[in-house]
Amino acid sequence: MTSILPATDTASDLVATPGTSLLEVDGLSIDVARGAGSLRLVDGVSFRLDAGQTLGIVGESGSGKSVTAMSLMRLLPAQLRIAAGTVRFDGRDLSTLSEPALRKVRGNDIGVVFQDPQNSLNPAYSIGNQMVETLRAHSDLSRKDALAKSIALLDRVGIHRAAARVNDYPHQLSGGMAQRVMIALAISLGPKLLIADEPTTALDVTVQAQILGLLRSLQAETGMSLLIISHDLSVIAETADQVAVMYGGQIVERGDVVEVLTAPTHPYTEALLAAQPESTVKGMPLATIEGIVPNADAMPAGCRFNPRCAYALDICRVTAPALVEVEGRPDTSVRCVRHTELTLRGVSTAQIDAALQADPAAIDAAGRPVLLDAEGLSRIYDLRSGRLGRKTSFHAVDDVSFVLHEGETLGVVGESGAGKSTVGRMVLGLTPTSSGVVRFDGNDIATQRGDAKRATRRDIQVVFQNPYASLDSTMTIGESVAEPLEVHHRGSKSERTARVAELLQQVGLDPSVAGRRPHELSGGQRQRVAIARGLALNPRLIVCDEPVSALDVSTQAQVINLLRDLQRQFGIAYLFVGHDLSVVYQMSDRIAVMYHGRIVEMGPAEEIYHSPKHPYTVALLAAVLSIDPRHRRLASTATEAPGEPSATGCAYANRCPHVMDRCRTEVPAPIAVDAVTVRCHLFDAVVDS
Amino acid sequence: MIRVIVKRLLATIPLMFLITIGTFALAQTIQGNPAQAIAGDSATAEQLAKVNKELHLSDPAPVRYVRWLSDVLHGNFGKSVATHRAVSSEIARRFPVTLSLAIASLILMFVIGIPLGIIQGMRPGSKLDKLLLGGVSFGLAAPNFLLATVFVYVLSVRNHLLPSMTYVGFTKSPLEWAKHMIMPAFSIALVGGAEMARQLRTGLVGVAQEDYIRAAKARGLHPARITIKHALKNAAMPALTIIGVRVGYLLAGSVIIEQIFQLHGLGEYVLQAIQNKDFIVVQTVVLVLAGIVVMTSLVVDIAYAFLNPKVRLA
Amino acid sequence: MTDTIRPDGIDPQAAPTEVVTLPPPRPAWHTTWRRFRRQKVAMAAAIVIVIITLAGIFAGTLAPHGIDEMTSEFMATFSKQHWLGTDNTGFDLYSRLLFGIRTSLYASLLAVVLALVGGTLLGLLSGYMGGWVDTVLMRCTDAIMALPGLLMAMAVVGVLGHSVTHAMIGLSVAFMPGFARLVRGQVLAVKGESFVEAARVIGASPPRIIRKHILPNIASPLIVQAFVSVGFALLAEGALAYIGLSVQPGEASLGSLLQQGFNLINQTPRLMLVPGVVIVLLSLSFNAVADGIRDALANKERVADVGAQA
Repeated sequence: MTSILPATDTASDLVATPGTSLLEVDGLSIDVARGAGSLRLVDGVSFRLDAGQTLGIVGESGSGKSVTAMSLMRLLPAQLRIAAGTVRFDGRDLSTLSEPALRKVRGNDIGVVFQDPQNSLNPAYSIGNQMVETLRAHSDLSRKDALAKSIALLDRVGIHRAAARVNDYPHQLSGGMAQRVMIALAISLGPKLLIADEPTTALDVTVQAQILGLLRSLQAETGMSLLIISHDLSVIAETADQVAVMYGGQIVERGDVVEVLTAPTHPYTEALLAAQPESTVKGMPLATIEGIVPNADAMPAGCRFNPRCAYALDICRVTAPALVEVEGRPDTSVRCVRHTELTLRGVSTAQIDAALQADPAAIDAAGRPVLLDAEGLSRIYDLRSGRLGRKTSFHAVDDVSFVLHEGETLGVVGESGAGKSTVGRMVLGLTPTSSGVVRFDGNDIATQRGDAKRATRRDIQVVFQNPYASLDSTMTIGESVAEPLEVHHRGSKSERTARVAELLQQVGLDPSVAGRRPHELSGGQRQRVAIARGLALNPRLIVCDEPVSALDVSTQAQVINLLRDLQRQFGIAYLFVGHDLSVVYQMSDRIAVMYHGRIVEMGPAEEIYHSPKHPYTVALLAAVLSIDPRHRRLASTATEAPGEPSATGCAYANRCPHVMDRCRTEVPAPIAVDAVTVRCHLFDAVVDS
Repeated sequence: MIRVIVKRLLATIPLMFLITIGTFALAQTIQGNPAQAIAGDSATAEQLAKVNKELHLSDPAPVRYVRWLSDVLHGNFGKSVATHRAVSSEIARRFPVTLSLAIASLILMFVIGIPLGIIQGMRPGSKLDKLLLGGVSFGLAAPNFLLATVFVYVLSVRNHLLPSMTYVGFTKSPLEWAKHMIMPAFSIALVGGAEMARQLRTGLVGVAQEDYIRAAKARGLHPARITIKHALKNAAMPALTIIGVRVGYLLAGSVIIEQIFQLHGLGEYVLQAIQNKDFIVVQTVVLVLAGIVVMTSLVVDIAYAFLNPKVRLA
Repeated sequence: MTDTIRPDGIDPQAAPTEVVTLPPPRPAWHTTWRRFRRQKVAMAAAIVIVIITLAGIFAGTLAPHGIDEMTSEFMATFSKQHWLGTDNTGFDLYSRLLFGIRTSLYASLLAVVLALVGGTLLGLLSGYMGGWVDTVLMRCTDAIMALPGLLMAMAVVGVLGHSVTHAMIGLSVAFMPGFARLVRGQVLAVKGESFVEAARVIGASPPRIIRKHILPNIASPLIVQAFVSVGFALLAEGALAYIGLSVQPGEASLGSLLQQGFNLINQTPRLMLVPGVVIVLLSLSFNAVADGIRDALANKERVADVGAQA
């Protein structure tokens, strides 16, 4: 294969043979201006990255990982500045290099891929324009040659019909496509190092797998080094050779990815691994990390992790530990005074297998009364398109039917645009149905009026995805939680105050929180408040619309445990909407998988998770990343960007490996196969025979 | 793009219709007793009745509105109640003056606003930015009639540097035209220019925080290129949309400025008409002024659509 | 709750979090005020407004001469008896200035309050109802915006008679579309927020949602816009008075003083400069305070975001 990519230029530089360091960061500290003084966001970070290797930096929000990555090429916002340390890249210190010299490094020697691909491309210019501009800024290519090279690059990153798409504007691209373009831009000049800052966080699961595969294949082809920043341990486990775990602005543990993840030496690493839903047998509570990530202006004294650490001693509250080499493991460094005496648990294949093979007793839903019955739900939006404004319609939700029993959890899983949230909104009455019926307790919600309607309103509550937007910032926490009681005229003012305190305690918050305002609380705490408000009227059903996807993994585990405890305690049914299959699996008794507005497969959670039938469910499961670096699931191959959902027949037809002629014309009807219902022509034969 | 323009054009039809209702109502309110005004204070009841009949003043308002609308659509603007001169010929005579003033003000607005906005937006928080911010605040707070008066007093009356109180057509002598226009136009344009500078500065400061600017920087593009190519186009879009609104204020401002500089434009015409209770002139001139505003915002919207691929390719 | 086994002995219920470490709660406006106070220019402007407003309110007590009290001195310059001199009819300029400030401030506040109330109602209706109501209302505001605002004021004066109040009613109509559009945009943004949807799920009625959730959340940009508008209204009143369409003869407003000064400009610039400086200073101050509030509020949100990172 003749490569269009210049392999990393090994001849001209003395370094860049495997095993020699390309990037060496030493004692890097970053301050943010605050009033007259400043606050330290990143404190003494040191690491090295060898040529051709991949380093993963992992940490929760506020750990300082992205700021660290952005500081390497001095791309920090104006209020932030490098306060100390050196960034040696290819023999030069980037932290002191002159701007013009640094400009030659940017793009040319180091490429960057950002978290939010759609906003990282200028909306006012076509992608070709921006690619040509970049190429010509660092080389003397003619416009024509630069365009030809841009098209070749787009083709290389898997963009179909690149010659036509080069004229597209950013808003015409999907998130996955935009990230492919960003990657093409970042590698266009053959950089020695590619920095990827949360490159897949904004993307769907299946797209995430493709993008990570693409990055790995490009690395294999060019020999460039890769620095991947992620909050998601599995992204690091799948891609990195080395890993640095950051907490509170410091690296707490650093070393070979297999060693660190299988035999961690820092309690935070252990806790982070344990909080992964994959590590837990379904039905067992997830391990959590108490408390929240500390803020830069309130760093605990001593070890920064001590208030949340299960192993903290008195000395940990006083002495700040240094990052030291672990005895007998020259590759690993750790920042913990107790690391020699503690034996910590890491990723264990046996545990994950046990978690996978466990057959937890699902509740016997069939015996319980039906609470919610949705039949043939559709939501159709009229769109106008084309020059003459021809009317077309878009089915956000298309013929969706399901039942939900009392005290049961039905998980609805799918990627963005699948219509899963719309289903939840239709049940809540927030989005009107175009056709179909939602029956609650046997009564059609749409026709209810007056008292009956108010009763239903009380019985169905909601917890939204974004804990920052779901509480009114002009109200105190107490006012927010009391609002449902007030609206339904429950109790006197003092009775309501007492009830609010009780509710806050039920969700694990101190009742004194009532006097606070939302911005004083962390994301997880706010989500608890939202749950308390949902509980106020003793509902029988709570629609959880991606309730944990905006939270850090440790907080996510807390909220999942809370929701499950409340269900056991009060017998509430959940309609749990999510995009993360392992989270939905943990929560649900039954799962409905949605693709492009339709439920393509629905059945008991175990069936769906362990023996998926629909090709889309299979693909969704295959895209789930492993947290065990010894057993990676991801292929390091570049795949072409998947086709758009098909407008006729089965929507999955353009992506399906088993596609048949009838799939493109005939919409498959739901078929019962074993315990599940599946919409796929592959199973027509099973039923016929 | 064509669809966007057609859609926008179609939307102006109901808008213009609403505006005719508005101007008609506006003119009705100042009508007073026009028959009396026309026929004079000593007019007999018969004379009044005659005038009323001629102008159909005793018909109900909706009937008169429909008649007026149909007249306007046929290009018949009627005669001034006070002077009996055809409104259309008077408008034709005065229109160039107001148009000159509007165009000169718009040009000055750009000349003031764009460089100031860019200079400030490129280095927000700098000494120069703070200094210019002070100037911009003054521009927003200084009343145009006060500025105009100070100009006349300082530059014309005291120092005889610039002519005032007359108008020279552009076609006659562009230089003289400019000399005569600069004071009135500047008086009107300062507020708009200040607002434009402010909008552009805010736009540039906002755009500077966008991911795509950081991404452009990460690709090693030159800072000047980033500002001029990547930031300015996106920052200019909101600044552009205020022009449509500004033209309305600009024309309103011309009413007073024409008075001060004794320019015989539409503003002066409408002011006289209001004082004379000359409702026919008022409704027609207001309609013309509103029409100019609507046309400007139409042009601005189309320019916006052209700049913004999201709209252009919709 | 106790029958489940928890690995690592961590129980979310047993972790009532670290609320104890939070600073004591403060009312919401407190932060805004603190941030506002730190801005020197805005603070200075606020003090200027307070002083000038007090001077206007107590004009009756502070003024050494009555509003239409002719003294024996004509066109006197600055002196001990007449701090700012007198005009050609012997009026004491300092006294007339105080009364003029009162009239002008009353007038601009009236125009802005009317526009604020009317515009907010229209904007709420438009934004919350949507559909054809929204379309019709927005077309109407477009139409009003196309009509010169001064003419609107002139028309109202024409029909209701010569007075400041009438002129300001007319002016408020011209300001209304601005408020209506602002409110509508804000309502549309807030309406889609999860907390409003959560209130709908609870069963809160639209009036309650508007009162409890939408209005408090759109208040800040409205306040900023109101301050900016007072500045503009001062200038507009000045313009109307300047062409003789605001106050009655015998009364005084900053605009009418300017107009009288303009007529005598060839004799002395003093009569024009004094009210001119006051009107510019006031208008400048209202704009500066508006900027200060905007920055104080923006800062608050930014801090909230940083806090949210933790």
